[in-house]
Amino acid sequence: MRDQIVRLAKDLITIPSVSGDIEKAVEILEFGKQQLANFAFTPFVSNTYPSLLFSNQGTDRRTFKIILNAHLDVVPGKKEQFHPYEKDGKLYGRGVFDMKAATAAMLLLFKNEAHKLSFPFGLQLTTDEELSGFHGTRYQVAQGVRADFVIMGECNSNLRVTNQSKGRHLIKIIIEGNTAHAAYPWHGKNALWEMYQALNPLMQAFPTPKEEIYKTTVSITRIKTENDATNKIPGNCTAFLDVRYAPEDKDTIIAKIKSLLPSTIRLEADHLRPYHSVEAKNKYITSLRKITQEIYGQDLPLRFAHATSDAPFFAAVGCDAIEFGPVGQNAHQDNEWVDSNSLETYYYILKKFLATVDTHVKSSPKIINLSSEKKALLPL
Amino acid sequence: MNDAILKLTKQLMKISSTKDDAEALSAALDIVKKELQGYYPIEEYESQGIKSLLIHNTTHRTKHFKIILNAHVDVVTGTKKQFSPLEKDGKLYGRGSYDMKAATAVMVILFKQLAKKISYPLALQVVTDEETGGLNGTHYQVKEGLRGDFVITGDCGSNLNIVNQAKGIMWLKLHSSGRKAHGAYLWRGDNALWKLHHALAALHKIFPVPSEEKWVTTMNLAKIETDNNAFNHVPEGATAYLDFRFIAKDEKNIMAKIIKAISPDIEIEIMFCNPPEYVAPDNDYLKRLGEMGKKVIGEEPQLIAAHAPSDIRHYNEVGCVGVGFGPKGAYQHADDEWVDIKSLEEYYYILERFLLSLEK
Repeated sequence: MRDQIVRLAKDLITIPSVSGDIEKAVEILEFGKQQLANFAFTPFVSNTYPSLLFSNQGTDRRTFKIILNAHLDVVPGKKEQFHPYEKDGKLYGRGVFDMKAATAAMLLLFKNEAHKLSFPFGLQLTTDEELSGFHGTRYQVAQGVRADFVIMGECNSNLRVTNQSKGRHLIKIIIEGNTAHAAYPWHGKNALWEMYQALNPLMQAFPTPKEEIYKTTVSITRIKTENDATNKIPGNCTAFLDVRYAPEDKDTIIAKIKSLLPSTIRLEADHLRPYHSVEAKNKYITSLRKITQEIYGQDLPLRFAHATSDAPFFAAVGCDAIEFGPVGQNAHQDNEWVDSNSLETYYYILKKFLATVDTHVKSSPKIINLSSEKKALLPL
Repeated sequence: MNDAILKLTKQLMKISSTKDDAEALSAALDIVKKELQGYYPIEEYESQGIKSLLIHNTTHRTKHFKIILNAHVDVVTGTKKQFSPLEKDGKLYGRGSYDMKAATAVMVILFKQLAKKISYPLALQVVTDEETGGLNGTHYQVKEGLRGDFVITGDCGSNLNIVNQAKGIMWLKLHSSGRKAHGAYLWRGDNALWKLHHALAALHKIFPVPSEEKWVTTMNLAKIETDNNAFNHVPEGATAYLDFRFIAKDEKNIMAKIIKAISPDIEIEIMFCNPPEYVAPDNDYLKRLGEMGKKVIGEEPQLIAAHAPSDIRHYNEVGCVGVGFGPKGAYQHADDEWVDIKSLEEYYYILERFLLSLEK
């Protein structure tokens, strides 16, 4: 089984399905369809981003007991990262940890097990998780896709059930200056300088942590100007901030950032994903952890994630969603890898979990009460 | 006279001949060619895909001219509106009006009318890369052997005065390397943008932006690039583009100052560096140009030191001298760029008298 998963993961990594490349997104979903040729699926497209929903009970099904959720887009990587290789029990390549190896395990699991399960079981394949998830998971949810329990095979959980994650704002800060010829700096107002001065107090308030903290973090990911001539003073500048907020800052973070910036700037905040949490005593979580202990041999604690996933989109409609993926490291970095053996462990844990759901867990329909904040997430 | 100049100026201004638009740059040169074709020999040059012209009044091939008039038809980027020239209150507004399509039009029309009557070797040089350094235009032609006793560039900044010196120019790239990481795990990465910021802040202290015109070395932070094109990454590489304008006094120590100010792990790449320009006030041609200026406009043109260099520097490199001398205007590279229409005629007559006076 290990070799089968590794082989399939390698095939997936070879397709450079970088977020935003729609052609590659289509190509990799086609590949997914070939793998699951015997199953019914529903295709979705939102804002050109394709996604699929496989089902063991026909194409029209929207409600499931269990959904496995996988994203097939990856962040940009170096050319050689799209040539996966195995070394010392680790599989290397762009997206191997985030999350093509987990996807490979999920695809095989669905292929081998879905027809044996009596409950409605779905597999979602999306292509925009690294961007926003708006046009993949969120769109499918908006189209009525529901489940009692969703497992996202995301990176960084390392076989720990991840039931909480930080929320995320993408903030754009726009500063206007005055352009002029570079030889006459007194005629202009350099927007890039203004930006750096504006960002100083913000970065002092949110310094880069030296080690892991469960607090709100802020980072500058890009600074750009429309100016393309070195001998011109830039007349405008936009900076992008990646804000990961802890639950205690949920309602105050935007106001706090605004208060640290000069009033002359323009700030646009995109609430990409809300803070997310599923109760620790959820019956599926309990079952998944118990089975992990049996197969992996360790009682792993629950995990709080710094990074967000598509899980909050399910949470917004009252479906419990968690992250649970194989062992690996260095997501988004050059030396991204997963532990090859853990893929097999991962596969068997999920297989046993599904079998348990079938025999023991009897679900009753939930009464869903949407808060207004959660409702706001739905319309597209 | 003014009508012909205005017409040609507007024709040139309607073409958005910015650095990346090879077709538009060619089209601008074609307008000049069409104006002078059949009257004078036109030599066409091309270096790295960048075209330029040399039009002259000699029947035999020569590389050495007494006077060279130098013009450029490339412009910096502008808003769409700026490429529709607008006349208002005696001013012609639009991209390139002042820098330097109006002056180019004057030179072209003057050359057309006058060059046949001039017995000494006279050339008009028209290039398309002045805004991007002039390496494949003026510099290239000079490298191919072009020489002049005295060069006049119609570039902006003189306002019918005479620019006899200009600051040196140096373009640098500063590159910082950090460590890439997912934006949710900042402690795993090292933000290259922020590292770069520390270097820039240090340089900013040494080369602050003067609040008013000043004869000091200045620095422009023109652009910042990251190799990061995702919004959830800590960037691992960042590059800043800097434009230094340095006075002669700082020529020897500017690099040392920069290196001392920034952390050694910031890479410095010199894109290019040109020394300050200079021609002595007692140069005979310069004095003659001043006299003709006085005759036409009634007052002696001032000698000015320019903050911006011109393509004259490429001549300085081979020992030829020249000045910047162009019509009145303002706001080159900015949104309100304009040229004074009346000054175009004055400009024409000063140049005409100057060129004729050298016959004697």
